[in-house]
Amino acid sequence: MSMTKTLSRFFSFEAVSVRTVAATAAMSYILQINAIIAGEPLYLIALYTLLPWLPIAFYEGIWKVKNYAAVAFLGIFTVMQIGHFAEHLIQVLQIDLANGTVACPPPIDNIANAARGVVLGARDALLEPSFYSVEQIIKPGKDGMPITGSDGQLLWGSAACAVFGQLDLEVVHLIWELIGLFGTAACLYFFPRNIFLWLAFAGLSWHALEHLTITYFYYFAQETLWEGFRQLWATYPTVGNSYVAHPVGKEEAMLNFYHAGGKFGLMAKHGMFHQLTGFAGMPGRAHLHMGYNMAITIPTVLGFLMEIRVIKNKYIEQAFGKLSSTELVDLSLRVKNRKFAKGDTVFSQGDVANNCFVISQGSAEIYLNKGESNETLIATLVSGQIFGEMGLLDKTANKRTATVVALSKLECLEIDAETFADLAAGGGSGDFQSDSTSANIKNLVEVRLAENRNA
Amino acid sequence: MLSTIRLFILSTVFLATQSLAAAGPTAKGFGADDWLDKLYVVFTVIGLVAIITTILVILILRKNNN
Repeated sequence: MSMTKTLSRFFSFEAVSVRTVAATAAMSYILQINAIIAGEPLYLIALYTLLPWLPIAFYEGIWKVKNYAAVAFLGIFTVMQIGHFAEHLIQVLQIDLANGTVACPPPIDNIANAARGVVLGARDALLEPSFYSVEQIIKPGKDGMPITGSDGQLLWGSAACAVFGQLDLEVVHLIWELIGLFGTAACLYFFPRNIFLWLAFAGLSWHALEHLTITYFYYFAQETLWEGFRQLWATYPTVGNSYVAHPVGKEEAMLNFYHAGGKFGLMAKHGMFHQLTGFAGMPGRAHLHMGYNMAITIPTVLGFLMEIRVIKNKYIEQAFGKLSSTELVDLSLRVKNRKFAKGDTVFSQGDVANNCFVISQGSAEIYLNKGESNETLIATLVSGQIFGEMGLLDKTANKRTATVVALSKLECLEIDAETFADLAAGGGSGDFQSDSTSANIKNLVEVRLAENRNA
Repeated sequence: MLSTIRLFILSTVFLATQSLAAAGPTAKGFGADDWLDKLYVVFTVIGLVAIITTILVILILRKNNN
């Protein structure tokens, strides 16, 4: 089974209908275009674009965990780690390629900053503070005033705090790190032989040292013992709701351990290692933490790719436990998810038979002569059980031998007639070579025939 | 939708009233001695992480051996 096919299946919507996906995409585009026209900053455009996808991504995620168990959890976890790493990478690109200034979270167009903007003459006194975060920062010099380039122009650049820079807070970094540490441990609990996950786990343990230390200083080392400065900003709009922070000097302040230097952590430039050894060659905090996250995310992705090669649907495994691992993977990728409301007729006696089903959620009742005077309930089926196979096995009639009604909200995995014929044939030229499975299907047919006779 | 935006903006106001800026130089007079004074924090954290990691590894391996 090719990796591309497996990945494409895993990352496609299986539980959510095409109509729902299309409606969500339309809603997302409408909100995105609306935000762009309204001149909203990048982080709000991104937020508007992502918001409509969150409910269906959450629903799909739960379905995947129910059907594919731990591999789905690892997959979702991997996507989250990639998203986190992307934020760190974007921040580094902003610094290196977009003349970015690390002032995170970015300054806000609040009352004080807006008032300085008015004093600077850069904004109308009647323009109230918007409380938007700035997207751009004019680079400050050592005196806290703007730096100008050789052409005498102010040096503008990005507020280098990635896309959602408002979340660039020590507590958020720590929480995410701990989610990563315990989440990877949970994945290892299910995949203890996955060497890549062990590497990610080691990286996360090391990374936890940095964030626990920094966060401790942030919250618990409050004595202000060091002379320092705080940068002052004036804020004003540039285009639409996009704001810039303009440095307007510094104010003297007594700083606590965190602000004096603890914020650099253990290994970054200006951090503990630098201070204790005098070695100034370490990267700055933004670059170092991007590196940490790369060292964590790459093995996590590799670990996921290793496990997804053998992804199996839990209910297919229950129904066809005698198949080999490779065959279970193959069959899991061939089935389609089908949903029925309570009381729906899945198929009726006498209909043409072109598929069979494995129940993944809910229950169904099988009736003979449904709706007639001699209507008989012959079986009630639950998750992991097959129905619809009888009509497929009788190739001459090729008709449903009973009526199936959803007893509750019903979700099934549909197996097409060709695949089922291959399964029922057992060893031979088909993709499924399990004689045991073939024998199991024959036994199941015997059971069903006996139920019919006793009805 | 409006309430979500309001929540987002308010969270930026309350959580990020000033830029922390993990960049630039250290404060005047801050140096190696200050870190030496805080080494107990670093060693406590190393111990804590070592304990957490060990417990998690034991839980993972114990499940694997069962």
